[in-house]
Amino acid sequence: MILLELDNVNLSFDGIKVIRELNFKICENQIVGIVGATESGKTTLFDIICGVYNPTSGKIIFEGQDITNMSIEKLNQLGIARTFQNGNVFQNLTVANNIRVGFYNSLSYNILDVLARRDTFFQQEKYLTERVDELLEIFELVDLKDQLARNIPYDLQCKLDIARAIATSPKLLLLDRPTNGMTNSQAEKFMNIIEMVNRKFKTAIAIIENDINLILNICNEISVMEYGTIIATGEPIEIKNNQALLSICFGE
Amino acid sequence: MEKKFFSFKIFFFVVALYVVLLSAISFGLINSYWAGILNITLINIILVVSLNLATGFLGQLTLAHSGFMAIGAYASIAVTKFLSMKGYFEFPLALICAGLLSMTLAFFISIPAMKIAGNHLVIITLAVNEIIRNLIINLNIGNGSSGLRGIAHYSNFTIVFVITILIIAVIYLLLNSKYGLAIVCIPQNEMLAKSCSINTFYYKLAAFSLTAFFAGIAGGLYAHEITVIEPNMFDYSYSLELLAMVIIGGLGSIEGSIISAIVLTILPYLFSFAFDLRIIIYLAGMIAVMMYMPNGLFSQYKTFISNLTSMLKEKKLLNLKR
Repeated sequence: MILLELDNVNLSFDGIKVIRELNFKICENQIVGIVGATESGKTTLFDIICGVYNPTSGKIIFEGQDITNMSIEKLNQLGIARTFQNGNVFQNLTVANNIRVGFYNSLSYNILDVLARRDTFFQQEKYLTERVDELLEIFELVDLKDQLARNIPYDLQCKLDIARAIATSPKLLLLDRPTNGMTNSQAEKFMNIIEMVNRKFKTAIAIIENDINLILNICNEISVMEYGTIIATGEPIEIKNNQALLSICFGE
Repeated sequence: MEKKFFSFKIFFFVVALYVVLLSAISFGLINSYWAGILNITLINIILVVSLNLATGFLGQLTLAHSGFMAIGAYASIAVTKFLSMKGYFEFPLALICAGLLSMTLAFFISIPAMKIAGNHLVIITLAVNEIIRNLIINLNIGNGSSGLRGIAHYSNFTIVFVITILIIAVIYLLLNSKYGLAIVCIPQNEMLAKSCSINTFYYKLAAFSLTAFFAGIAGGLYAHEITVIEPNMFDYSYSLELLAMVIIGGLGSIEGSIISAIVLTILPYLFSFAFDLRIIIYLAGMIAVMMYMPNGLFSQYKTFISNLTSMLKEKKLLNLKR
């Protein structure tokens, strides 16, 4: 079943077209890779999907609902979560609190519950702590629980970033170059985590990557972007073997 | 989080503090001059803690705090003059009106202002502060620049103390919930906060308005404590002084704000024997804090003691072997 569909989406800033006639779709439980040269509009595509920019024309459909002009916060509530390019965590919060922020939307108590110390407040906070511990366990961050996020190694920060995004219980997770700045062995390990997230939480994942070899094994489908539009979509191995296509993108 | 209504330790400490101070005042251990300073100190605690909510936790550097205080002061005077009833009835009403009026104004100012970040917001709020003061002077509100005299002295120690504790408690409880978490993460990475469903614009409006609400109440208390007010008391230098207290106490630390408000309010009075020297001492202390503890006496993530030891270790003044 199709989860997200972009139909003929255009985006221009002051007449300069950034995204042109883009059609794109993601099915449930799939991992979709997006590759392309730098400045080809991969991150802008994510920005359009998650509501940072609203498209100039075209339609975005998520689970049969038109989400074209919604804000980031609203889209997150509907089930689209994303990570940003350079390992974004809340630097001055502890690891546990970083994940806690992700659960913000699942807490439904109001200000009066807090000030009057009602039971709902304590119940929800207790439930939240359990959920946070659960996620810490899954992502193997339990030992670092009380460390400040800025003090933990970079690859663990990236892991924390994904854990936080998963805490918002998304149906679609957009990963913007999650392995940016990692060594090869770290990046390969990281791919296993992404696969695990996909299997365990039943989330569809779209992942931007510059190195096609890295995502070859975990993706169901790979799209190639160039000049603000998707020029090819296909099985990973198909794309990999299409030398003409890759030479357009990467000049190999 | 454990279920508890409030911490009994803190509750008993507060009650004990109240009893000790009140009996000291009523038995004359603290004379009426110092009792007045005590009230001013408590009012400054309200102002500094509430300013820390906007500046320290939310990262919005504002300089309009004394302007909102002025609105609160004039509004509460207007209410008490207009009603002219028994003090215990009209004073709470006047304080609430004062808070609400300055909150409303802050709300409308913050809609355009909160779209602007960082240094520009400082200029805007500074302008707001001066506009409020000049409006009071030029529209001749409350005798214009010559000010008002003979305001009823309603702010006794009990009222000021209870309101201060209430306001600190409200801010503390809010900060220890999802609202606090949201407020703390907005200045660190606004886009990331948005992508966790946190409506950052709403939070900025709410925190700024709440800050102004408390400032208005503090203004009402202040007017009825010193009983003589004029618009020039509420110029930007008072806002700057409050901001200095927030920064010295530590951005994002309530206990730091309380302690720096107490110290920095009482210090000028303590050194009043050395009139010229006191400003030098005051400023030298400020520079020392800025140099050696740039995060303030109590930073958000460290206590005063660990702050001090790490500072000394860095300067190789303390040789601790592990």
